[in-house]
Amino acid sequence: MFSHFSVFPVLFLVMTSVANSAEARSADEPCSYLHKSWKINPSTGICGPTITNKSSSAPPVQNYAVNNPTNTFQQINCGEGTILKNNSCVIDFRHEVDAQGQTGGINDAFLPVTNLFDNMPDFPKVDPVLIGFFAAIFITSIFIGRQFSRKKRIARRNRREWGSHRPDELGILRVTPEEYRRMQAFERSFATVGKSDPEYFLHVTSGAKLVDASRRGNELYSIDTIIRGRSLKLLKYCDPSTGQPYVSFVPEHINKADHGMAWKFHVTDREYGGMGDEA
Amino acid sequence: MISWPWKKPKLYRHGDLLLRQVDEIPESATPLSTSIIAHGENGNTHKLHGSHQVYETPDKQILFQAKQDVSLKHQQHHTLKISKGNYVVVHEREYNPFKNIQEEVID
Repeated sequence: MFSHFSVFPVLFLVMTSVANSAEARSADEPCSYLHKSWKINPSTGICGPTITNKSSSAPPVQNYAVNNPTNTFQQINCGEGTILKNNSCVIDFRHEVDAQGQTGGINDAFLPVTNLFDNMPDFPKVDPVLIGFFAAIFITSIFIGRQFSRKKRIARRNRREWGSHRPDELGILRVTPEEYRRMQAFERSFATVGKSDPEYFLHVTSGAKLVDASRRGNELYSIDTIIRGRSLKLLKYCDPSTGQPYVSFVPEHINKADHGMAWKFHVTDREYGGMGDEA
Repeated sequence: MISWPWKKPKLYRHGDLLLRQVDEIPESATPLSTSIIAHGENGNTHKLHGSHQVYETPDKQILFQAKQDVSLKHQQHHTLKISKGNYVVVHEREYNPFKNIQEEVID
């Protein structure tokens, strides 16, 4: 491990010494043998042709230079669109200044010294009170829309029309349209799922609650969510021969599973309790 | 025949049927020349095997007389041994809470 750490400083020293020796050139040698008249610019250290100040011949640049005597313009390798000013590269705005000077839109005395990020646009400032006002309108509109949705309107109408307690006429079951649709869906589910898979129907589909269970394997369930104010009773029983479960509705007054089974076979609880063979 | 209160009637369950022992066959019942006491949905039948006689009352009630121990068979249920006596056949029922009616269960 120590050898690895010691190798890198040694390599660094060797490389820097080689680089310095590569840059070494005597004072009487030209900086470029191809263009022997070129000189090294002392401010940049770049070998190039001798620069002559042509600002007097270019009118826009001349104006800028006259008004800013401290600035010197040198077309040195600062990159495209930039110039060297105060030993730092800045964006060259001379052509823009020229265009604005032709239209007469700006005073040449206030030519900007612009850096790269000076022209970034500012984000618009929005009043927080205005934001709160629009947010309040948005939330209120959502609330009002929910209150007056179709579902809510139907529910209000149902409550208005069916809310008052009306005693059911004999043999007539009065339900709201919503309850009627719920009953239809429940009947379809009972006819399909309830007959084929009673366990799934009881515990998943119908949401029935267990009321009573007997030693004979009968279970009584209650469903309160189908018809308002009524509790539907479902009896689950098994075939003694096959063990297959079945579900069947029983009257609502039944609260015991064996009582429900006795009701199904027209016998009393006592008779059902003393029943002999089952198959 | 006297029905003693402490003497419980025999009850048998065979699928959707309940067989309840009765003291005697009503006089209004007419004998049937069949061994089948109930039909199912899929062509299955509850059929008696042994010495017996099936009756039907005017209100379509089915009874039978087992002259000795008989057996009751069904395709989907175990065979049930029934002791000698008179029996009435009771069908299982279920409740329809939406129509508020009682319906007979057919196996």
